[in-house]
Amino acid sequence: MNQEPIDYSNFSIEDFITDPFFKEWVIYSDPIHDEFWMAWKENNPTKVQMLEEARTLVLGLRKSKMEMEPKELLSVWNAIQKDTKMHPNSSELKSSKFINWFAASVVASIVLVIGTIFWSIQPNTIEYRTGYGETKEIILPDSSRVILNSNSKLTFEDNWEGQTAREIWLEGEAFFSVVHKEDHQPFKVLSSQNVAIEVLGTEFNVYNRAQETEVVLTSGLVTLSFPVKEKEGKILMNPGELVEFKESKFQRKKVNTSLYTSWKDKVLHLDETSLGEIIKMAKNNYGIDVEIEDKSILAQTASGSMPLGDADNFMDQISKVFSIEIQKEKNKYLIK
Amino acid sequence: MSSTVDLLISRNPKFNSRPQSEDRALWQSLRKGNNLAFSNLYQRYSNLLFNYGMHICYNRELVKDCIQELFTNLWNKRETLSEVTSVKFYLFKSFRNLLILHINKDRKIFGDFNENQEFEQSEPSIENIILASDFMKENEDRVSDALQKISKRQREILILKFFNDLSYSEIATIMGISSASTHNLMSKALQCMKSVMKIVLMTGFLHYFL
Repeated sequence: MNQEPIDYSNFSIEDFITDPFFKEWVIYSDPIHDEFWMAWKENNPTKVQMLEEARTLVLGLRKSKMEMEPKELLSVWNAIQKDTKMHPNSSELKSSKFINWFAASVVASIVLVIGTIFWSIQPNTIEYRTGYGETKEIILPDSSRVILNSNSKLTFEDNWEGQTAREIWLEGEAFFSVVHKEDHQPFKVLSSQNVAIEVLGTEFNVYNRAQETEVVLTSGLVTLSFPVKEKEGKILMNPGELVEFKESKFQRKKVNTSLYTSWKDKVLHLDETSLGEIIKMAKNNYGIDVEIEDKSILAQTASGSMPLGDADNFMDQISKVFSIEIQKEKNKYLIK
Repeated sequence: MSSTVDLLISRNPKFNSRPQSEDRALWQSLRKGNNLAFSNLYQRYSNLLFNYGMHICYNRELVKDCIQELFTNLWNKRETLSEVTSVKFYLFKSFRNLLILHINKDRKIFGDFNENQEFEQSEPSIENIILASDFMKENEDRVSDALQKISKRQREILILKFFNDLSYSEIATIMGISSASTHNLMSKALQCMKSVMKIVLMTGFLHYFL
């Protein structure tokens, strides 16, 4: 799906304010966009003023956007639901309408009872941890599914009823398969870099180790919010995208998502993946120490897939794939 | 990580606008009576329609009522809905029809009113703008204010184009004008915006080079 870069030299102001790449730069200025547009301005000096006008327009128009409060969004939705239940079909008889009303009142009283029971239960914090070389499948209170990768920790409260959002804290890496709730209760994953991933029923992978957070979206839609220059930035992610957040900057790219999520099926997919990246992964997931004599081999790459076993087995396969000699001393692997 | 070239080549031109194919899949599920698809469409479009509606008629309750009516109709008529090429276009067109209907009804009851009143009252004076020290922020405010100064139709086309990325032929059908007129209207809208904002743009522009 590669696309030719767009030729912006003949763009009018209206083309600019509707161009997604331009808007993205104006709203979420980051080094890659900056570099492109700074170079463009140098090459198109006569268009600089127009570009600035377009920039002001984008920022200003964006600010004039009017939205409903979450409360209003919900109350309109509730009204729609009420309306559609009251008049499911114009040709229906009065008696069936009455039955619907009766059913609705029964449901309401059951909900009320359950509601009271939930009120009396205080939520408890639940924590799951995985050791090195271990993965764990977890079913969340709303029946969403999480597969927790090695050396990771997942925390959440066991009762999400009456909460504003379903909130999960993650350290490490996990794959989420989120169930959409009819009441639109948001599902949020929070990482240690203050990145929040907000979800509408979807599948995605979150990697949050050391000082970076990486989100790969398999299907559905998510919004990411993260702190940028003392304010909050927000981006909408599309399926097949990877967003990396590191040192207060984000980068977005199209990826083959299976490369990032295959670990959940105990397989590692490689696509010109460098030895350096593989070793970083092995360190994180197996907690092993790896020492390399000749650092130049770190740039070598491999493609294909390999099963994920224990650390010894993994390093053994690596030595075969890259034709390198690996010696083991206690918990340390030496690459020659 | 990705280099500059990578990002340029792989960038998704539909960033910020949901793929139409996804919309159509939801539409088909809705026709079969899937209420999850229905709620998903509500989630996708209710605020976009709200923004559009509020720029046509600054009456929060009226706009919300129209959104409610639109989606209620959609569900009640789900079995008789036909295939559409663009769900977004269908929703915007139906929503506008509803809104205009209600505005005209209100006019008959309460007499003619100027729905821009609230906007004009909140209009800051030019002196205030020049005195302000934070140019960039004021620039943004100035755009919002300028948006309330231009004509209703100019504002409408800007909203449809900027926030909702509808094509000129779609906009022509929605607004009931010819395709050629949409192009004229759009460039007039931008010209007016620019002239209203001129003073601040100049100061902001100088500020940028200093």
